[in-house]
Amino acid sequence: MSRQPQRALTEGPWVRALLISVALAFIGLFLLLPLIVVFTEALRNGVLPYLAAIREPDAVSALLLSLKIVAIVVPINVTFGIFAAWAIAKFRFPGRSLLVSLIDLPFAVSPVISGLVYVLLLGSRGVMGPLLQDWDIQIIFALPGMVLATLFVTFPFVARELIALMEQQGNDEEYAARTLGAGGWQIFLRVTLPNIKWALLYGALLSAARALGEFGAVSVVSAMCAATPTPCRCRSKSCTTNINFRQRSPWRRCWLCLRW
Amino acid sequence: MQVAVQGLSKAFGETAVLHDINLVVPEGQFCALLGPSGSGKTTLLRIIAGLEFAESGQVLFDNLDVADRSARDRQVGFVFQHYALFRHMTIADNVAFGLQVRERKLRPAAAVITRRVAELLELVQLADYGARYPDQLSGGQRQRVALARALAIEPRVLLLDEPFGALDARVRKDMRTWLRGLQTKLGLTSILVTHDQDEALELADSVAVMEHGHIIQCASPQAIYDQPATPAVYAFLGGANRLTCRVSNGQLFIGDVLLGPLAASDDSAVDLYVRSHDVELLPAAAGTGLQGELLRLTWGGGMTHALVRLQSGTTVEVDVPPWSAQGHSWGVGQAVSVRLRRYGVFGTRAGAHPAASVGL
Repeated sequence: MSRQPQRALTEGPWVRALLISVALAFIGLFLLLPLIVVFTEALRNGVLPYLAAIREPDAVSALLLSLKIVAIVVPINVTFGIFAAWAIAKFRFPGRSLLVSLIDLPFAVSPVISGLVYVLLLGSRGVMGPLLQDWDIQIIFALPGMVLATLFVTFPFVARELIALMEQQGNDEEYAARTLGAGGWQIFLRVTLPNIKWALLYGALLSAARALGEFGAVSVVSAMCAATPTPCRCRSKSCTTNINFRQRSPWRRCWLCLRW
Repeated sequence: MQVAVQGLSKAFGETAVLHDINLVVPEGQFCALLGPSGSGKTTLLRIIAGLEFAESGQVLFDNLDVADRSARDRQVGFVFQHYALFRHMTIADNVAFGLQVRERKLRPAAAVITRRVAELLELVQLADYGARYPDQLSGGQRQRVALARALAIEPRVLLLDEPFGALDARVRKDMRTWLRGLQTKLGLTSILVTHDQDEALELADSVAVMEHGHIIQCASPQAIYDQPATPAVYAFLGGANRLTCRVSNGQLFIGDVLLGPLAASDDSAVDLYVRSHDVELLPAAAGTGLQGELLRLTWGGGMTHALVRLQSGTTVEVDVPPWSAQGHSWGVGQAVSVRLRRYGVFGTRAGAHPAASVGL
């Protein structure tokens, strides 16, 4: 009689084993196996050809471009992520829920489409095209365009990490600091920032990883044109269309290692 | 410093939270804002602190309107219910915070700050805890740190928002006594928000009972207890029974039982309120006139709580002290009688003043 309720509340040991095996198999198949294959293929001919491939001028310029984009995008994301999270977590204002939904928008939109929208807006035949041409500013098919496209897809990461954490931590510490005589910046630097530092770091890392790995939006914006500098992953796509299989590996290897 | 509030009203969107509040706390006095949840007492406290702003009315510190000053400039010490200690700073840094964020020209030297922190930690009996972090302390200790931190800036008024609400009962009692001693020693004007009547009556020099955004009565604890202005105040302090009575020719009756004379303007139905510990339980043979049947007995460790149904049908809660009834043992279903020792009578019209205060 007492065994029945126990059976109803906990699953049997075989169910547990099955669930764990399925989870491990999933991770193994879709995460570990491709990773192992990439590393194996990249180093198939040994370490030296791999290092030589990385030192080619095209490879170096691609790597530098990617890093440049990351160096611009991540600080901007961190700054505006903090602003957005602060406004959403600490205040109630009309349009707050809308702002939260908008922050999640880049996850819902295909990166290729977002790149396309930038072209339609800022390209030479786009809405703002003539204006930009008058001022002789090149956004699409140049670095600013790539930065903008990357910003769009990486923006949510920092904000989402921070909003959840700041809402959970509440406002009491900030109010206490206020009554003790601290000004706005002092409250932010001495009270808020130390409390969110790990979430901020994590959000920045996610943002950087996403920026390095972004392909769709940036490829549209840079139009895969061989004459323009293309970041690493674009090279990898153009290289995969090549018949030469072996040439693929170093490019993929280098952006993959930067991502990880 | 005297704190006064005049004509204060506050609404959150459509909901009015405070209606025309007037309150004066003289210098050095301890005032308690007592009321149930939703009565507006915390909002009132935060408006005095400058953490919220009112739609209309004035907040006066020594007769000077501070309504346009933010919390930063009002020099108030605020103690939160959940301590609000800075979790990433040590205790000593927490206490020093208020002094360290001052403007350069007003900021004391580092050595002075260290000394002041040591003094304050000594005052709250946490002298050796300076290097610890808040999560290494117990609730009572954290609240004392919060108090020390608030006192560091030499506030002109101390505001406490249910400071002992998150502590367990024993710690709460000890902290209460300690806080009262500290406040008397420092002579600091203080305002405490609480929903615990025992706390308010024990700590405060004056109690303001609030309900639905109004201050119903503001007086000394004794006056609040003995001469409550309305049934709500009576009922809020020490769970009261309500009995419907009538007045006839200057005499008070429950049903056909005469209770005593009552100077009332007219023959009418009135409400009688009596606290459960002001009712005496006696065997039926004692013949007080108020006969009834014992419905339920609960023993709460010392005091026994009895529920009696009177002949008129109303139920009355009675507290029976352990030494009472000359050793009678009560049984459920037993015929008993009750005597009302002290009670308050109020007219049934809403807002009427008591027709008589107490009777014996």
